[in-house]
Amino acid sequence: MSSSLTYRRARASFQDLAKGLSVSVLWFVVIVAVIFLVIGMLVQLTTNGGGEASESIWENSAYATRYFPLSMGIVITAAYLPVAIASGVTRRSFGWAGTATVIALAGVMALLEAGGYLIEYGLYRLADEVPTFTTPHLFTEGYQFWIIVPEVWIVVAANVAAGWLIGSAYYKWSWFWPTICLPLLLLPMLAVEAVMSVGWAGAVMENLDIERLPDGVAVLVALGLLALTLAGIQRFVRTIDLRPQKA
Amino acid sequence: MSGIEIQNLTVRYPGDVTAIDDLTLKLEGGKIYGLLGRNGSGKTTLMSLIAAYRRVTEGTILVDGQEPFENEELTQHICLVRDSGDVVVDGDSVKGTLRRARRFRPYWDEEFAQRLLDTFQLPSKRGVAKLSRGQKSALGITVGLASRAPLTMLDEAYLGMDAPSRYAFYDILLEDYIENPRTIILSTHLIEEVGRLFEQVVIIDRGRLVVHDDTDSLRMRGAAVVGPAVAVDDFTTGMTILGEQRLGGTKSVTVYGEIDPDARAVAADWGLELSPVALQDLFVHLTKGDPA
Amino acid sequence: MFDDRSPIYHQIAESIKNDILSGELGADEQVMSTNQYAAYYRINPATAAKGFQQLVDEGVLYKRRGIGMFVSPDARDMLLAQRREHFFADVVEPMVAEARVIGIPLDDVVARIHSLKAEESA
Repeated sequence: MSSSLTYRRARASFQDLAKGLSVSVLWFVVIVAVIFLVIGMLVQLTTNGGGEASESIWENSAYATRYFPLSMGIVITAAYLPVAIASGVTRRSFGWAGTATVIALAGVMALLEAGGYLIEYGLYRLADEVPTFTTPHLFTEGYQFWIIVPEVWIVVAANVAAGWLIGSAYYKWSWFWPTICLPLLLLPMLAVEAVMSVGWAGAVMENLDIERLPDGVAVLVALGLLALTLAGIQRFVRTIDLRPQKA
Repeated sequence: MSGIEIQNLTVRYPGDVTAIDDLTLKLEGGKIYGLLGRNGSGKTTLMSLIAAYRRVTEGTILVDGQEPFENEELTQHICLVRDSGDVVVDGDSVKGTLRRARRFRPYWDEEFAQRLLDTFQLPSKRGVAKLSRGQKSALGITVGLASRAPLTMLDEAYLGMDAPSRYAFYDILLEDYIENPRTIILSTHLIEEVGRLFEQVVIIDRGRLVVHDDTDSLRMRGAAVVGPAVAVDDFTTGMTILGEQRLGGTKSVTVYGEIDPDARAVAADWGLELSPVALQDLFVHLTKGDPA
Repeated sequence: MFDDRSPIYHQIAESIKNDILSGELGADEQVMSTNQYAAYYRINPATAAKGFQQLVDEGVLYKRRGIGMFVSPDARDMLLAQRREHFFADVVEPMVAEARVIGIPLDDVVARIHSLKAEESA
């Protein structure tokens, strides 16, 4: 079996997925940007204080940039596996394409987040303020994009992977058992969230009084978990039969 | 040449449904095959396994001597269009669907695809969700034929298409097959319309192989014996009887099997009329029985 | 064009023979290729090829490598001879048998033929 063929077909399959998802992702980015711009202006108009530290507004965008990609993850198998197989792509190649999609989608979100924080930091500084964060993060300042990017990347990737896993399970077993087992399907993502302990998960861990791992260790363990999750999904996808067509 | 060898293939679906029942079949490839069977006879399941849509669990399928499941060298050259549903994604346009096929199909012929769109009057910018049943089928056929896959399977590809479009499809299929010979399997019930395109016919019923033969030989294999009831009964004793009808003292019996010249002479002597049976009728007789 | 009465390849061969007999296809004239024939009549090319092969085997057509198939120079004479031969076996003999069964004296049959011949020459 030639690996260059798998590479070529996986790349083509990834391009197909990227092409299919790109319109939605683009809209999402535009909508998030507009919403936060509006919120920011409203807050600016109402508080109008100055000189002291104030809470970051952009930090709240983390929910959108987690769960929208998760929902995109759900459609990877449901919408694109049948068409890939019908185009003569193997599940193996499709699995690689899905993995690449998870990583790429999380990467886009990481850039969006880091960019947002950077802009927010600049705007706050103009108003002589410094954004502060209400939940734990690996970074301490909004301009530290070199830390923000990996943090968001890893966490969002875990969320997209969760979506992919859930979508694949629903495709394979229909709704009943996957619904019953939903907590189980979320486990890999929750594990990454717990290890990273940033954002909402960080707040929860703090409330539970659980000490966070040193940053470097947390990142490495989370990456390991993520790799295992993706490898697991890939294996799982390779067992999926296409559904018979509805008449 | 995309020959297919199937050995003792069995497929069971949940709920104790046997879709394919110990099927053994060998197709040399390079021909146009007609795969005939009633609804639920296992045609779609069989083709889905050949195209690696599903994994084989009992028995074997070899295409060009290799198992197709998860075999990219092979699957890139196998194209099955079950219903246009498999080859489209909901948000896509006709154009987007062709773009995907171009990406994945090594022998894709864009010019031919465009010609097919013109023939079927498919608007290339229209979203696939907005296509009519017939237009969806035409899109499936376009992808199926322009992929030029060495093993091309079209599963009742004409659903919802009107007669002129169907005949246009048959003409193009034949013309393209002549220019680019390959293995083509068509499943259909419209035997009268397409029967002459088939070099060989495979009939399956309830997951079992009923007949695999040259179309011409199969057509000559059936006969209706008509005449006085007693003589007809005498003559057909020991033959495979597919069906019989009686009108007063006259009886008509459809038999299956070669009737040699001696037997024909006997029939003439006894005043019996032997007439050929249309492929469609033969199919109906061979697959009669409780619906699966 | 084709019916269900006999194998299609056989009907193809017959129709070409008829064209030769009627003079529509002359000696050494090229016939349609099997593919042209198949596309024209919407039949499988292998079926058409089988019909053409039968004609080659019978000596009605001959092949010229890389060019195509042509009508044998003596095809028409051969086919005429065949049909003439068959005429007695296929037409005259059954007629005589039938006449015997239903009790028409052969002399009556011959007389009828003579009268038809007289009409024709009149």
